[in-house]
Order: sequence, then C-alpha cells, then structure tokens
Amino acid sequence: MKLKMNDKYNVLNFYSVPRKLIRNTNKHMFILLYLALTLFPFIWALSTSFKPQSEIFALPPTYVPKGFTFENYYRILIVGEFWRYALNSIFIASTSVLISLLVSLFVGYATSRYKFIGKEFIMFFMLGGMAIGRFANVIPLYFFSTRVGLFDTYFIIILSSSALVVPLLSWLMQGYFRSIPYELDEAAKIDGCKSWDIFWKILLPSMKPAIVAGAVIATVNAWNEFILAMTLTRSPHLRVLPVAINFFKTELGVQWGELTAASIFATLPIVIFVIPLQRYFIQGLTSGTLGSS
Amino acid sequence: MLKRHKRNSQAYLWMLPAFVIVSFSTVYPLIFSIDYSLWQSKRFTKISFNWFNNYITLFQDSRFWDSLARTLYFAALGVIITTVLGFILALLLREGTRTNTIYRTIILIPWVTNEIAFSLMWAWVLNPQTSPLYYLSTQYGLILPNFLNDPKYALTTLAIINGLRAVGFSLVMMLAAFAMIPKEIEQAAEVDGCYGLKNIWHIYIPMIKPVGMIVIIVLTISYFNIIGLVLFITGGGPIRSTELLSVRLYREGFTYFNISLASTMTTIVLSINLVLAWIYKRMMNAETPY
Repeated sequence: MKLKMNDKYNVLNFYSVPRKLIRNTNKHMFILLYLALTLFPFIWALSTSFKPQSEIFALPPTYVPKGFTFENYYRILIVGEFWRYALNSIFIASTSVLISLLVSLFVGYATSRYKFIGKEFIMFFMLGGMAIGRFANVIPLYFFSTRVGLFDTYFIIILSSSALVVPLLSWLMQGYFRSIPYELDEAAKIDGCKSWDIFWKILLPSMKPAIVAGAVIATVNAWNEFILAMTLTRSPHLRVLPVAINFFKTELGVQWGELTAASIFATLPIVIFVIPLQRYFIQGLTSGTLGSS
Repeated sequence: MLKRHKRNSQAYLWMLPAFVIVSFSTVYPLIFSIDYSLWQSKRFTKISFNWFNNYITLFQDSRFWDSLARTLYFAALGVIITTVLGFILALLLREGTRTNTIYRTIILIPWVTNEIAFSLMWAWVLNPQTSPLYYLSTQYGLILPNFLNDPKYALTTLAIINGLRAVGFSLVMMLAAFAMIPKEIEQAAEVDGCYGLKNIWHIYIPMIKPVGMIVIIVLTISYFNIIGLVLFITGGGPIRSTELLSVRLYREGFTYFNISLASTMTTIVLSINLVLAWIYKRMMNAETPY
C-alpha cells in the first residue's frame, strides 16, 4: 500500500519492486518462523497421538507415524471415558453461556438505557470482576460450596465460570446497546410497550452480532475452565476435559500417547468452533476489552 | 416529549442478576479472605483473633518475597513477549489480504486452546528424551539445557510459553488499534518522507499507545493470576524455582489446609488486582477514538 503510493512520486521507481519483494519475503519468513515455533507443539502432539507405544520413544523421532493407529484415542475415549467428560464440558459450557449472556444483556440494557445512582460504581465493580483472578476465588468458593452443599455439583462450576465472564460480556453488551438508536425505544414506548417487551422484542433482534460474539467468548472461557472445576468437584463423573487430563496424568503416570490424544481431543472442538466464528470472536474481544464497539 | 431515562429504580432490577453472580466471585472472596486473614485457624475453624499477625508473619517470610518476585518476573517477561510479538505481527498483518487473514486465524489457535492441553503439548515438546528439538540440536553438536527441569531456566521457559499463548489476543487488539489510525496520517507521513522504522517510532507507536496500554494492563492482570499452566507443567519445582504466588497459595490452601495463611495471601493478591483494575478503568476512560 505504502509503496504503491510511493511509486507515483518516486522517479527511481524501479527500486521499489525488489524492495517490495524483499520486504514481502522477510515478512513471510518471519511469520512462518513464528508459526513454526508456536504450532510445533500442536503438530508434534498430533503426530504422537497416532503412534503406537513402541514408536513414541523411538530415536530418531518420526514425524509421520509409521505404525499409524487410533489406539490412543480408543483408550482415551472409550476406556478412559473421555466421552463422558466431553459431554460434561459441553453441558457446562452451554449452560454457562446461556446464563452469562442473559444477565450481561440485562446489564447492557440497564446501563445504556437508564440513568441511576451508582452506575459508575457498578461498572467499576464489573471491571473489578474482570480483574479478580481465578485462583483468588479458589479457597473462598471451596469454603462456600462445602457450607451450602453445592460442593461437587454442576451448579457450582456453572456459576463460578459464568461469574468470571459476565463482566467482560457486560462491557461488550453495553457498547452494542449504545450503538442502537434510542428512537427505536421511544417509538415502541409510544405504542405502549413496557421496557421488558422493548428489551425482548425490539432490541434483542438487533443485538445478534453482539450475542454471537458474547457466546463465542463465553464458550471459550467455559470450555477452558480448569482450576475452579478441579477444586470445586471431587466425583469423577463431574470432571470436565481439562480436569480429566490432569487426573489422567496424576493417576496413571505420564502416558504420552494417551495424554497427547486427550489434549488433541480437548482442543479440536473449540478450534473448529471458533474458526468460522472468529470475526465475532475478535469483535467481542476488542469491544469488550476496550470498552467501545 | 419523552424522557430518555425515566424510571430509574427499574434499572436496579435489570442489574440484579449480574450483580449477584459477579459479587459471588468478587465481594464474597474478598470478605472471606480479609476475615480469615485476621484469624488463626485450623482448616476452616477459627481459633483465635490474630489481628495483623498473619500479615507480619508473611512479610517476614523470605519465601513469600521470593514467590512475589518470581510472579513479577513471570508476568513482566510474559507481557513483554506477548505485546512485542503482537505489535510486530499486527504491523505485518494489518492489511486484510487473503493470506493475512489465514495467518491471523492460525495465530489465534493457541489463545483458544485450553491451558492444560496447551501446557501438556509444550511439556511434551520440551521433553529431552524424545523431542525432535533435542534430537536435531545434538545432531548439530548443540547441547540444549533441560528447559523445564533446570532451576536456572524453568521459570523463564514457563514465562515464554505462557507469553506465546496470548499473542493471538494482543494481535487482535493491536489490529483494532491499527484500524483506528486515519489513512490521512499515514499519507501525510509519507509526504514528509517518513518510512519504515521511522514510521513505527513516530506514528504507529504513539497512535496505538492507548490501546497498547490497555493490552499491557489486561495481560498483567491475567499473567499475575496464572495458575493452571505452572501447576500442570512444573508444579512449582524444580526446587521451588517456579513457585509463583498462585502456586504457593494453592499448596497452602489445598495441600496443607493452612487457610489463614492462604487467605492472607489471597487478600494481598486481590488488593494488587484491584489496583490494576483501577488503573485499567482510568485508561478505558482516557481512551478515545481518533
């Protein structure tokens, strides 16, 4: 872009051709090097997960598995009951997404449509919620959940992972609601709509992009929840995927074939889910964090 | 004429559910931790009111200061890596061409991968016995240290791994910031003979600084509170060289059930987090689109 502009004014514009070429090759070199560095662990894990036990420790290491096998996946999914943990992850993620979307849509509506005392404070409070790290919650929530009998239930995991994403989503929703003109509300009010109806019938349909964006972010958040899910549950049948991987490692010793298969199995669904929706993911991330839409 | 903001009290009803849920993960832990930090306790049973003795004990404990220093180092190194790489990549990928879009997508992958799976893959690729990395380097006569098992390198390695995970996030933010730079400014710079590195110093860095600062503060908060990655890969070892505040806190809480001490540490961490959040809020207010 810049060089194209430059060409118009530059008398020696034949210089710019090789310069551009060099710059472009440098750029691709840099990016490909970066990708090689960061993606190599993924590729290596993928390759290991299809290897039979004997090949995993072979030297020199093989990149494409020679004795290609699905054995590790079979042992993880069927024998290790990872299918059950995957269902847990799906259930917890979807419930937590629904709850956090709904309550943060309410927040966005209230803060963009009403003036009330303590609004600034509440928004700071929400931001504080974004800053409260997961691990600072671990002991208090453990205590709380054992006291009120919520320890070792789906409910407590859903609640705690929603709590951590609601602040971000609230900022996101507030930004989007502000971009919807007040005239819409006013017209509906003249027609005698209550604010509850305005919210559901008039505003929600125009919030679709924000809802998708929020849903993607909340899904990623819930799917990856680890420390709270681990400390707030004990029963094996309540484990989510990351927790299951951790227990697999500690209980059965480091079985790299199975472990890599498990981590690929836990990673692929979310990657496949996010890639087609990445535009929304990015929008949600930026507007939620930067506080503008 | 209709008033835009009419029934104020109704707003509180709309806010209520979120307020309850968020309080549960902010107000409750804060009160709980402050409360327990002032008591001497056995597991969750309070024994005697201790005033600030837990804090005094903790501040006299060199292990606490060591772990705080490690946490700061871990967070600072990670933030630098993530921000700098995000900036460079955004600079290279800011035009929305087809290849750039593909690159951007791939760079996002580690960011959506879960912490545990991501940690496991890195632990496996840094395993000296089997990794092609070690195999190839010995072939070229280079002996690599055992990154995760050598106390000299473990913390730095973890900080780098963790820093690489969030590059997708900082890239996305930086791209949003780049998109906000008006075309006229770049064109004016060109007319004035500003190219390449000069451009970066005089135009891009000042222009994306507000967003850059927000990215830095968000990452600082997040890295300051990392636990899963460290717990899973090294568990604080070798010889405590990767014992961050979070790892220590977890151990005190769940291995030794030393709730008073853990609560004291939680209170300190929460206070630091709230200060960072306050800075963040101020930056968000200051940030204005151009």
